Amino acid sequence: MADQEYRRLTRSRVRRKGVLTLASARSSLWLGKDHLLKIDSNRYTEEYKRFYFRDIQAITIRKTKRREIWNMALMILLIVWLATLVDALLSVPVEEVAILWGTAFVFVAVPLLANNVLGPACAVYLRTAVQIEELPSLNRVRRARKVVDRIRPLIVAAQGQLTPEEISIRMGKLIQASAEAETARQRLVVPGPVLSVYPVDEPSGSPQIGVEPR
Amino acid sequence: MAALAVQCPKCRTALLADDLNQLSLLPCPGCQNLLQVEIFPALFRQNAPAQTGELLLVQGEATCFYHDSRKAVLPCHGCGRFLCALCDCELNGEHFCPACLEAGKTKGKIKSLENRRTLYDSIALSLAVLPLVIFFFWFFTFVTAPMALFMSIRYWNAPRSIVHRTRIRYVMAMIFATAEIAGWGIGIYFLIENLNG
Repeated sequence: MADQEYRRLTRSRVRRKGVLTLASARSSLWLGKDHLLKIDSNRYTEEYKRFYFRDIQAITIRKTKRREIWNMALMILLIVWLATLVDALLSVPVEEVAILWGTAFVFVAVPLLANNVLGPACAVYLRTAVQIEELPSLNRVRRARKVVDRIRPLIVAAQGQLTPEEISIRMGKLIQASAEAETARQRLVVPGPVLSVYPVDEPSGSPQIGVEPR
Repeated sequence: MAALAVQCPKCRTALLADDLNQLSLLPCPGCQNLLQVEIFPALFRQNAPAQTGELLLVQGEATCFYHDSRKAVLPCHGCGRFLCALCDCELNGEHFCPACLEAGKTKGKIKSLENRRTLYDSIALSLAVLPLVIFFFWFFTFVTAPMALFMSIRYWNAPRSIVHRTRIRYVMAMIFATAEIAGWGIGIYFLIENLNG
């Protein structure tokens, strides 16, 4: 136990794929000696992706509206339950509806509370030279920041650090290089003949071979 | 990568230097989605051109096992064959030939290349427990319990999850499976006794 290769960074969370959510597909994040390990699991198999600290180019946290959507859905459910409860209170004794109230509290109010206590939701993307990978186990801003704070020193130790001035200069160069590469790419594309600019030979007129396009 | 600049993951708008490495979430200039982007020096790193291997100029020099005309630069850590710069695949400070690298990946000998594992302990435990949990399928244990016991014994030494995991699932599967097999044995014994008596 003393010399564990990996230390857990996040517990496994449901990995969403498109609109449908597969309840059994889960993702977790682990900290290795020189890399991050992402494990996608369906309980019976595990798939591993390693992100070496020396290769990580950028980490992006994007705030999402998942918390607000869940809040809305749970609030609607809570209102429905409360309406049912009030209706039941008017017709039956309090003792009989106590169980109903308890159930409503457990199944609706507790997730609602937890959804707000955990803070704003987010999606986190990790960029390397060859891919941009989403990390589904980092789905709350607070947790994502905590993990980024933990791995930042390791990335800095592997790569060094950028000062704000350096970022400005290098980003300028990067954008310029991007633009130049795009221009060069466009030059390589040879445009085909545009028929409308060429004069149309008149059947009865003299031949117009060698006439410059208009 | 085609897009060199850092982009918003939602609208693909290129982000400006002022939006990067900030301590708080800032709105994307394109979609106004709140973002916090942290970049590292690897973003600006130029990839070194791939090595092609030096051609052999002097007779008698060691040559690459795979290329007769190229100079050997180092031996493979896996098989000891001489390799040229073209055939040298470096992995965590060790040098392998393409064949050893492929073999290491498929046979799971090089742990850092492994990208998939089957969790036989979880399968065995599910075989032993799931038919009991899903109550109406308890009679499936007649088949699943021996399967769970077989899997636990057969794969006892098989690699488990890459992250730390004990053999507790195998042990639990064996206990449940043995109890189920014993239950079936007792049930069949009493059934035969009742039929005879």
